[in-house]
Amino acid sequence: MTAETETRTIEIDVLRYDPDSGAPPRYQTYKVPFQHDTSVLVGLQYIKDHLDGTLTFRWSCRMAICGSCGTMINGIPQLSCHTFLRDYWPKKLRIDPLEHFPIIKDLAIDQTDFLNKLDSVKPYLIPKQDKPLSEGAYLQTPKQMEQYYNYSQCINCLLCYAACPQYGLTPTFTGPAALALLHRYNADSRDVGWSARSDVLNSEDGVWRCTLVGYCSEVCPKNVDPAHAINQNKVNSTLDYFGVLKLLSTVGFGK
Amino acid sequence: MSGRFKPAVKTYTRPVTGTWWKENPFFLVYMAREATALFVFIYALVLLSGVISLALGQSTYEAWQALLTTKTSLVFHLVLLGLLAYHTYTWFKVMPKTTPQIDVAPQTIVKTGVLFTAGLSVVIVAVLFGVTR
Repeated sequence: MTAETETRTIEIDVLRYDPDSGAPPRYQTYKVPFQHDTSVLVGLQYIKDHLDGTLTFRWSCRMAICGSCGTMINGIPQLSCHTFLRDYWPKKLRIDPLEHFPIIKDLAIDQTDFLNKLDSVKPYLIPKQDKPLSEGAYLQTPKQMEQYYNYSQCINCLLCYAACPQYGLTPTFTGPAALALLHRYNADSRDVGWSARSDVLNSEDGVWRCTLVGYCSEVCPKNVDPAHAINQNKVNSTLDYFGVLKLLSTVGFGK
Repeated sequence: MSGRFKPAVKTYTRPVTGTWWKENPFFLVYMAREATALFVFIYALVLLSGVISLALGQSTYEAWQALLTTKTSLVFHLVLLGLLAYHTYTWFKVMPKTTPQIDVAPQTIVKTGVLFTAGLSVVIVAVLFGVTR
């Protein structure tokens, strides 16, 4: 039997919370058989299917695209479909819901705060003027696309929020993913929505709440680099405050 | 935050403990960056005390200068130099996060900043050494 096909067993501690009982969360240990290619998500599915059908967790695509299965794995925010049990064996594994979010049940968190913040940054193109479909697509050069492309890769998995101590300490902070997506549209040559988003960006709970811990960018599974999006906008926010951005745009600088 | 999405009715919120920064090595490095800022403030006080002693007259200023040459002061300054150098480095380390979207590798930005500062420091020390000889 090769290491690829050998079946081993790992102990997984999962944080359980039942809103109906009202009791505080507690850890429950499960013994899960696994092989070389068993992800943490598949381990959780094994628990649900064979050991305890009451365990609640979110998942969908199983390939790091949908952003549903984010959890704290040994205290690190990670996608459970993108993390393998073999890397933790023979030690125990601890799985918690994403930090800084209220728990609805077990590993399922309440994403409402993020959804409202995402909504507040107007995460869609605001073009200078609408044009009919018959006029074709809004065009841009590869160089212009480079300005925002990596920020557009965000899958809203919320690992960055779980990694951000500022969000934990001050939940009013707009936070990494929403601000990265705000920048994604501001940096797009087809968008003129800076002023519509500037209230969120310039506010104390906008980019200025960030103290550049930088862990959001470390844990991002899509290399979005929210810390870069936020901190380059501290410069933009300052230029906006002194009216320099407006001046630059009137003389044709900027996008 | 209020908005059109309404929160789940019954949830459990975990408290953030005062020791959150001890739970991850990444946060320890962050706190080291923040904590060493305190020594920048302390060194600013040392320089400020020099300016005040200069304003108080020649004898006070000479006493301050004499104090700086004691063994304790030299050790204190060496420790401060190490901590300030580390603090400076930490800011160059995060500099790539503050630049606009440019086609330069983050490590190149860090190295350029560190080398420029080191070079400039050598020039300043050389000029001061020449002026005060």
